[in-house]
Amino acid sequence: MNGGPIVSIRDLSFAYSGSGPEVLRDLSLDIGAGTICALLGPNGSGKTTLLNLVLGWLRPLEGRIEIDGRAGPDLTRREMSRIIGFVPQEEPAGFELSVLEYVLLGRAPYLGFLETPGAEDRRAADAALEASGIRKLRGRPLPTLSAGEKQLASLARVLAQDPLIFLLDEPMSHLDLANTQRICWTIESLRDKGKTVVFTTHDPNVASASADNIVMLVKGKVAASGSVRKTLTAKNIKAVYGVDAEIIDGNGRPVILTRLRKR
Amino acid sequence: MDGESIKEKRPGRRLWAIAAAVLVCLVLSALIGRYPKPFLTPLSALTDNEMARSLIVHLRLPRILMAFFLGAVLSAAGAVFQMIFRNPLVDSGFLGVSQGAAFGAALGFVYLGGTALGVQASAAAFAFLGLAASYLIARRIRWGDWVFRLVLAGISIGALYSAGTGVLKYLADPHKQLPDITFWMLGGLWSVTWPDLWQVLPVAALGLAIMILMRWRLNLLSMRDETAFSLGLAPGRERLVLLAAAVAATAVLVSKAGQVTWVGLIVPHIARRLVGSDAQRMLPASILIGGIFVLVCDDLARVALSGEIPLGILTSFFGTAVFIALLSARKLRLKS
Amino acid sequence: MRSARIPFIPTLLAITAFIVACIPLTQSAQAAPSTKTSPSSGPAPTAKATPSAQSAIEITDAAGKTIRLEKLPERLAVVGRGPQYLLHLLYMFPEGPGRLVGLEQRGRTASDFLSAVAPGIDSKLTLLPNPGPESIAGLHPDLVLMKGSQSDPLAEALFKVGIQTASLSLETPDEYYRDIANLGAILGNPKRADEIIAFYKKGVARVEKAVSGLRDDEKPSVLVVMGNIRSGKYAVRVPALVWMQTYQVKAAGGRPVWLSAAEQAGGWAVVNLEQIAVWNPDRLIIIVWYSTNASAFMGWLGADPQWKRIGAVAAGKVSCFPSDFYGWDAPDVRWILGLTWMASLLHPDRLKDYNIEDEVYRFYEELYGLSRDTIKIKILPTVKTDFR
Repeated sequence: MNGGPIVSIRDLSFAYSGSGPEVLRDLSLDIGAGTICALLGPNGSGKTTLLNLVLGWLRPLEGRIEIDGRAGPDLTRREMSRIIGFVPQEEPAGFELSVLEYVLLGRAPYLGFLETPGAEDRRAADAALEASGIRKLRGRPLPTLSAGEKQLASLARVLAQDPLIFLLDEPMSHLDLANTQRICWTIESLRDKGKTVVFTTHDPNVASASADNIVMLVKGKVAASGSVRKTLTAKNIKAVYGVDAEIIDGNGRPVILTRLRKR
Repeated sequence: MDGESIKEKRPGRRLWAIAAAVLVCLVLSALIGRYPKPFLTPLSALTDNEMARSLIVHLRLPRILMAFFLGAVLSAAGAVFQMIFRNPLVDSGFLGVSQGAAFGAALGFVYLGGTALGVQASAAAFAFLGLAASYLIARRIRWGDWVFRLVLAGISIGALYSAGTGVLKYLADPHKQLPDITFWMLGGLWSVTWPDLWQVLPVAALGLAIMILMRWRLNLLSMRDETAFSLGLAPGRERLVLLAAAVAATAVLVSKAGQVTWVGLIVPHIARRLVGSDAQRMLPASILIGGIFVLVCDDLARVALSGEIPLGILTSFFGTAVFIALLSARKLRLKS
Repeated sequence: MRSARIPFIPTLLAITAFIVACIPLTQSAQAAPSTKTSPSSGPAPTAKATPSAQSAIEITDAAGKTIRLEKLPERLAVVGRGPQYLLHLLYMFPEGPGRLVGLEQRGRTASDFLSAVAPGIDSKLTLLPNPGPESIAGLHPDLVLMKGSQSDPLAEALFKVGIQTASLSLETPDEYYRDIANLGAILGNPKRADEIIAFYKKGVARVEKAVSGLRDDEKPSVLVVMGNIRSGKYAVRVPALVWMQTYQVKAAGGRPVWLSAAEQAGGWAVVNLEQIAVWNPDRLIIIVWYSTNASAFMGWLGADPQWKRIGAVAAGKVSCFPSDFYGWDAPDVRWILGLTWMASLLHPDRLKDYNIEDEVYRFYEELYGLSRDTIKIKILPTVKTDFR
């Protein structure tokens, strides 16, 4: 378990329908255990697709994915659900489940097919709600929450699931400063507990601040990967985003300044 | 913590109260009829009047139980459909199930001799066919998410069946078969006896059991497929099991009772108002409330006048009245 | 969160216990017959050859069921579709009116005809359409009569509470003879039943004799249609193969042309003008007596240019099926009148002594015992042979 990467991807290719354009091409990537990895890239670069492939929801055309040393397809769904947790960009409002009931859904991997959550599951859900800072919202119906609160609720759900690997798709897109900070701190404490977190974002500064490693994707290929300082260079930013940027140092971490005013 | 536990207990207590109401309704229904006189049967009749006893045991009891199961199954199926399709306006009419049952029954009346067994078997078979056809067609549609695809396919199949039923009504003998078809399509439980109940009980009980046991999974299935998958579910398969259970139970009861509408649509809404959206409570509540609803309507159907009022008319009437009341109610939620 | 399971399971158990507890009740109640007209066999009676010593009646009804009664039924109820067919037959027997205690009324009256000649019928207990078994039980009938040839769920439900139902199909002449005989047994007057059957058979024999020896080319081709006006649209339908109208045409020495388009037994089949032109019948007979728009229909038929191209219409060989209170084509007791009329229409030279008024007088005198005056005042005015 230690030593090798927890997620290992080799020569991955994927297209949505048999004859469609390839969304990912010959992608190879390692994600170390107990690290925070940020997937950066413009819209449409394949970040969400990559997460879905790691999750096992999509099947690659070619290539292999290994999770914790074992080939993806070899894992049963149950084993997968205890290893990988997933938060999509958007969760449909669904029915008016309360926040607590929604967070309890995250306990499914630990329950038998016909079992329902018990006291221990409620405790885990409570702790998750506490960690996400939304415990006071637990009785509210989900659709009445703001977009940011819903994201925190999704986070709480996956915290209650407590997997080894967290796959988060744009977890901070709707959040204000305070909640962004909260999420980043939560991700850090997960890493400190030995969990692995992979999240996507299109804001390089967020990636710079919270990640250990960065993978930059452009049109389905890895443009750059490695430690934060190594990857976040003006050259890479230009190659990936097509904008000129200035990198300055912010307490040991690169801060990317793009020129937002024309003159 | 205290505030929470009290809030948790309230819906739980409500469920108990509903269960008690069920027992009361069942007992009262057994004492209502038209013999020896309309409405309440005096208790003395139970001891003195042999015909009254015979009527209660042989005709009233199986009928009220059938009415209860009809309501229970239709409501459970409605709740399942609504949660799976994440749409509060869905019931079995969206998957071609009830139209298939109608078509099968009409076919039974016109071409299979109109025997009870022929009509029921035909209705059940075509209801299942409706679901299967909707599923197969949905798989071939290329755009939209799966909810959209399935509903689109279901509506098309339903429309096809309705056209078929129209043709059958046109071909039917206006003096004999057409009134049969029309009366069936309005729904009714007259002449239900114990053998009828035994015929539907296995499938209906099995379907209900599956739905009840999987009620927490129903919550899970209201999430995106990827999320459900990440939690260890096989969303497609589990949906199929639930839908099959719902459709099988519905088809079998609809083939006996005819078209009884609005129950599957309305009752889950009422249940949600009383005990919340969590399927763990909402599904059992739907079952109990649905049972009471159809039971009360059927009591009216057989007791109000000397002639039977088709059950479907009463459920539509009261169902829509309740629906409109719900829509216009100012308060949006009852539960915490 | 397990609290939600708990209220449900006891309820389910309670219901199951309820059902289970009722099973012994249902079985014991079936073993012990309740009312005085108890069936002596179990729930599924089959036809037996020899009546047992105690039963006063044993008949096999139109649905193939064996009805055994210990005593003659004093109280009869008529329910189901087409009650007037049964009632018209019942009132041919002197005991009939007295024994009738209640009926299901589907129209404005139980029977226009009976209301006119036997006003007592209007004071009989009536039930609204589709009565449940409890309402019927409230009439305390000894026997329930229903029109039909198949076992009805209502009859089965009534049987469960000890009330027997006798079915009479009344669709073809042979069925009529059997059902009349059964009714005679039920009323305890087989002699009267024989008289009624003899009347019909005599009428049939008369027609058969008149048309005997006719070659096929001497038989005119006949098309019988029912005229329909549905939401402003005119349509015509032909009767089913086994129905009375088809029989009447064949027996009256005609050749029914519509058989290829007809249903076996299911119902009226719609036909269009092209098909009628292909058949090109010698004679066209229209059934419109039941319709309030009869003259409108006949008017349209006469004026429509398409119809004028049909040979029979151009030659004026279009007739309306006659009726008095009820049509003479339907499987009502009047079918014999229809048969004789049609024979005289198709072969007037062979039934020279046919006079419609005489037929009407004879029918109502012999079958209903009405006086000539009553017939003249109440019935003759309702006889219509033309609806134009």
